[in-house]
Amino acid sequence: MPRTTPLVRVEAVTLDLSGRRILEDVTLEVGEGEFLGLIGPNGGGKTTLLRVLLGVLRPSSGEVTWACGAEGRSPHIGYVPQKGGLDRCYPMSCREIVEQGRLGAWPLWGERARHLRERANELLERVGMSEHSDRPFADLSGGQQRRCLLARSLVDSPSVLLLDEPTAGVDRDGQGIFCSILRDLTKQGVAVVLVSHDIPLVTRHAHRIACLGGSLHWHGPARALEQRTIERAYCCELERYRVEDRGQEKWRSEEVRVGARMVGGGEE
Amino acid sequence: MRLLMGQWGLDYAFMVRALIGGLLMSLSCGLLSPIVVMRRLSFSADGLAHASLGGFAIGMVCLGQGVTPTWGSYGLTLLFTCLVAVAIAYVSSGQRLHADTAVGACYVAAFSFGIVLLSIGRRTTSHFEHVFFGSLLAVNRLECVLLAGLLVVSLVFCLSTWRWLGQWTFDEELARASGVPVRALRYGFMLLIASAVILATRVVGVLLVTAMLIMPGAVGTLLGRRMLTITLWSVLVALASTTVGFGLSLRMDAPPGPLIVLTAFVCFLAAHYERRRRDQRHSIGRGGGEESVFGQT
Repeated sequence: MPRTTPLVRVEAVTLDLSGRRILEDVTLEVGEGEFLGLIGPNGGGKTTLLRVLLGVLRPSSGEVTWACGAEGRSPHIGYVPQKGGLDRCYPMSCREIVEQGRLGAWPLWGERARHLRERANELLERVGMSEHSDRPFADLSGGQQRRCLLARSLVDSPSVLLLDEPTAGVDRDGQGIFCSILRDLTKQGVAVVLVSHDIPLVTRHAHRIACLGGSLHWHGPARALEQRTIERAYCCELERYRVEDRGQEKWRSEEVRVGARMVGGGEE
Repeated sequence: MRLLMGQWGLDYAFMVRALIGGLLMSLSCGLLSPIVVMRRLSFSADGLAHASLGGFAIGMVCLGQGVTPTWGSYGLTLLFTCLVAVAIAYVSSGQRLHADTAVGACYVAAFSFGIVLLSIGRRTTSHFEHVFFGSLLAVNRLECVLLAGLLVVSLVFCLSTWRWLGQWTFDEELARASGVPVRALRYGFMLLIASAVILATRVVGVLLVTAMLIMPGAVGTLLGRRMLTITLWSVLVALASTTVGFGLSLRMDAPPGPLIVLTAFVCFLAAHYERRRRDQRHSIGRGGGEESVFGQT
């Protein structure tokens, strides 16, 4: 993919939390319509980097610069968090959760409320959740909740989408829907940053990959990612195999997961 | 109409003030209650109610006044309870402590401070029944004005931060990531709860005020699926409980505070039953065996 106008530039970002260095001198940028895959072992700082991009955490040094749009505003960011167990008593319906993704504080009435409702319905259909739109969010399975959160992140038409392990716990159909939506979004100029341990999925869909293990181990086009780079980051032997019928090369993600456990940073 | 007013004792100015005060309190609590329930701030509300006792004690000892509140004592109580609210919000905003631990630590300290102050000031706690269980019939003009002020502030706060409140109740981290000023929202809401607790104490008392901040919202969350319907249910239940509780207290010659709370509890039981019925019907419609918010149905 040809280089495009950078939407966000991370420059020499270092972050210390509770006396521990989480990120060290990380420099990278993401352009319009670009798909960046963030991989690396647990505790490598992937989620932390997303939180820095979101502005939830402030770097100890270095800076994050967002390109301003035509109106001089920072771009809208959509975010799909790495969710654990959600409150089983939370009463809102799936559609209400999606509608909550709309920014701004005022209640919406009349035409604007109807427009938002239609937008939520359209997105729920796009992620294959339209039949569950009136069910309580807490009643959905983990994978369904993630699809719903993806729809929520898209409701305000973001120009950057940050996804933290969105396909964990999602079935094959769900993964297919996720990937096809992400591909469509990049074609529309949306920048996507995907954190995942599913290396075959990332290498198949991302334009560029950043391998993070505290500092940036490697950063470049997905096609140029080599086996030994991943092995060095994950500290494990990795078996690469070829899918004969498609002529594609893949890595066995099982091996990567084992490696991730060996490095064992726990929750990021 | 006149007969009805006579039966409700509304010929008397103090009865009219009591009803107006009660309804104003219900509207404020009904508005705030869904956020308290969905943000899991029930224990915080309870803690602030107990902490306000320390504020009342400061008012009594420092201003040398009785249990009837004045502008001065309300000001001191509000200041003290707001300080406790800020302390709770500050301690619980870190990653190191759960909110309930922070509340538990702060409110017992404030409560104990009040008791110690009363002992030093040689005040007995025998007149504290009014503070514990409320005295709706003694609501004065000042309190009606303050309750109306609280309602206006609550309305402005909820309307101006409506969508932010929805995001905040769902997930604080996600809300922060979406650009919601979570910290300002948390502090603002805690201060509002502190004010509601102090003013509602006159109506239902320190021990029962938490019920008015929990039960209407609980009914709303059982019956509603959208922020707006949940809030409407909550306000409706708060108003109905106060009106019915007030009417019953006149009929039974019993204190209105506990009757208001008991009426709200009946509404809660009815809502719980209705929700179970709805879930079972939904589960049968889908082929049964699906888990609902109450577990396996």
